[in-house]
Amino acid sequence: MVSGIYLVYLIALGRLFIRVLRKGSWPPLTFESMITGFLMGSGIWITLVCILSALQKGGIPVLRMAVLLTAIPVFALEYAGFRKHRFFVWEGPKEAGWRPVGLQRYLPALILTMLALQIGRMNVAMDYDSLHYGLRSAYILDNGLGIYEDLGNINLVYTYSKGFETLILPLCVRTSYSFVLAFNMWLTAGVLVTIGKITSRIAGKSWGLAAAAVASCIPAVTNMGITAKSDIITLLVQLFILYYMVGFTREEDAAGRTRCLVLGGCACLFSYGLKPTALVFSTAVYGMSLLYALFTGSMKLSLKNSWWLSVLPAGLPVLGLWIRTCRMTGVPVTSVFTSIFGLFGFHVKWPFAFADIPSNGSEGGIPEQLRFLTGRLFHMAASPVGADMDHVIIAWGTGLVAVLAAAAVLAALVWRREKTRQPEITYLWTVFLPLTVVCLISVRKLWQVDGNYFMLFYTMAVILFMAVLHSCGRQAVTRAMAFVVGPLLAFNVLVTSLTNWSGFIGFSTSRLIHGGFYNHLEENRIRQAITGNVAIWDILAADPRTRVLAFGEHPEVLVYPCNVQSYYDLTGSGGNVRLVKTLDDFKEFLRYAGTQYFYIQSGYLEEGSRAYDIVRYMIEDGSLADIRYEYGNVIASVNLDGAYPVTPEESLEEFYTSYRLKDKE
Amino acid sequence: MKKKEVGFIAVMAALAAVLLLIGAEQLLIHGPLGPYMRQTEFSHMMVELLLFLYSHGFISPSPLLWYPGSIWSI
Repeated sequence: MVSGIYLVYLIALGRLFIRVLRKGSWPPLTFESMITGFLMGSGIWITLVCILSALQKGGIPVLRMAVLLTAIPVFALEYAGFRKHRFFVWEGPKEAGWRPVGLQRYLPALILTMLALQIGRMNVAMDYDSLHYGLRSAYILDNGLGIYEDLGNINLVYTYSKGFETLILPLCVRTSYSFVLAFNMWLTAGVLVTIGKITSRIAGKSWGLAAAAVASCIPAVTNMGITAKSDIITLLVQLFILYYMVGFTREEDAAGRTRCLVLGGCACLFSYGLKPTALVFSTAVYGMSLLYALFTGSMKLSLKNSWWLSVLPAGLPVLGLWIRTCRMTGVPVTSVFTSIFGLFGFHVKWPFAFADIPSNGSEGGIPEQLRFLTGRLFHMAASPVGADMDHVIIAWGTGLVAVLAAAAVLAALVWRREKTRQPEITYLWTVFLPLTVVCLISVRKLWQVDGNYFMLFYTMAVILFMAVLHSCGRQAVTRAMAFVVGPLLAFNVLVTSLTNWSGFIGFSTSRLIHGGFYNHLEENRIRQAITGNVAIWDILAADPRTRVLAFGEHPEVLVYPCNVQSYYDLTGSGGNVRLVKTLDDFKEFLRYAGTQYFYIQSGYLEEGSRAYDIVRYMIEDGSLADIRYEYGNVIASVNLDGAYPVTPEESLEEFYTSYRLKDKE
Repeated sequence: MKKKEVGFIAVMAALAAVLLLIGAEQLLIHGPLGPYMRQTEFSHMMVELLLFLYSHGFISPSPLLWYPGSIWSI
């Protein structure tokens, strides 16, 4: 509920901006004004956080206070406008009296069931990536001084464009992850509604409802709803581009077309701040939209249009977020784009080191590459089994998407001379076909494909299928296709029930008496206490600004309520293994990171490993002091400046006897 | 219905059936979801029964399932 109110606040904040653009006139409560409100409101909010952070006045309590103070006038103005106009246009004027009939009546129940399935396990199915970076924004993004503070974290994931994480900072409560996850669930519902609305615009409300229901059964879409990753919001904003541009194809006057084109551009621009890969996918979608407008001769825009100003709340947050990444790393966008920015003169700063696209390394001639691609596509459509499919099964498009995409293509070919050529469908094909090519290149190139990379493709396949089938106008085919899709939907419900991004099976246990939220902090404390980390927890929990390097199982060791980065962060994927090559390099990194403590999990270090040697050498030369042991776990203060008195030989002897090494197999 | 319509539906139904069969066989019986299916007595029994019948030659799986990686092709 709290996250829902926050979402309404963002929409209302954005609608206030729209009111300014409309010279004070209150915008009617249409779906378009709400999504535009969300887009503008989110942009304004992130810009505000960037400004506060630049003044070093960040910090989550300050941000919450800012929400509270601004929420009062924002809601008051919105309510005043609503009371004056009493204008609520949720349904289109043509189908205002529409109600679902027959089997359609069960579709809302199916959608709600699929959402409820995710909500039921939301609190107990925290996945690897969410625990790594999505849920720890209070420690690794804004730890008191705003998002521009360099918190000394080395891994790539801490340098991503943090648009989503910045947006939800006021919901980052230390005791519970649920507020963040719930916000993502609202956005997932928004994705389904937007899919329904896009389809409704083309084919009518019955088809829109069917599209939303089918999309709700795709594990790749709904399974991402209970993560704290930015995939869902990125998908939502990319669907906004489609929504605006489908509207563009229907607008007849220059003012309406300008509004749709500018807002589509704003959605594209805003998505750049959410996820590095949006730079490819959003640009592809909007770029093709522009080409469509150009080649169909509909690019007649009015330059004297107040909507052009909406570029500001969409572009400023991206600028602010890219400045953060650039200050930290030397390049505005990390991930696989560093080499591209290198061409423009940007250089990655020490201690970061980013790899290029992790290629699958398959070489050979065209037949061999085609065989590889076909094999992968087969596995992705029918059977995601194998090492490179580990991240597909947890967010799978399933065979349903393959059938829908194939049906859309085949139907468009079979009935090509009929209504399948209406402008909205031509526009969707203009975007869908290049998007398919981009997806195929990704499938061919990447070493490990993730199911969530193709969410936009999956949802577009659903929309296109509905639009094309509707335009064929054949009732018998539609009915028969319902029987074809039905068993696939049932299979998808089963797969969604059995899979999620964390691999957890089951639901949260229900409690009648509770504090209004799921206490993850207490759960983490108890879990650490069971593994003998009671005193260590108290030391690390005393100050959220404490900086720790943890040697232990990743991401399990990241649950301490302070700024923890793991040894895996440093040397694993997204890190920089060269930092542990020599002890001097490592110490230099520790100085950069401002690391105060080493935490070493019992049974993690292995004799002969680099991590073990580093710890031994650090004790030996007095760089680790005040070493304390608790059931084989270790906490030690980093003593690079010699602030603590040390007795290295005794300390090393004690380490050998008190720390429990990893059992030899 | 016209020939075109029948053809379209037949192609789609065949594709859906192939994907569904392979998906079910790989994921629910032998694949990554197998352990979850084996968590209940009934589904575990069904899986074991199928494998027993096959290994003793009582059933011959559909040629459809003879694709690389299928349990039937081992």
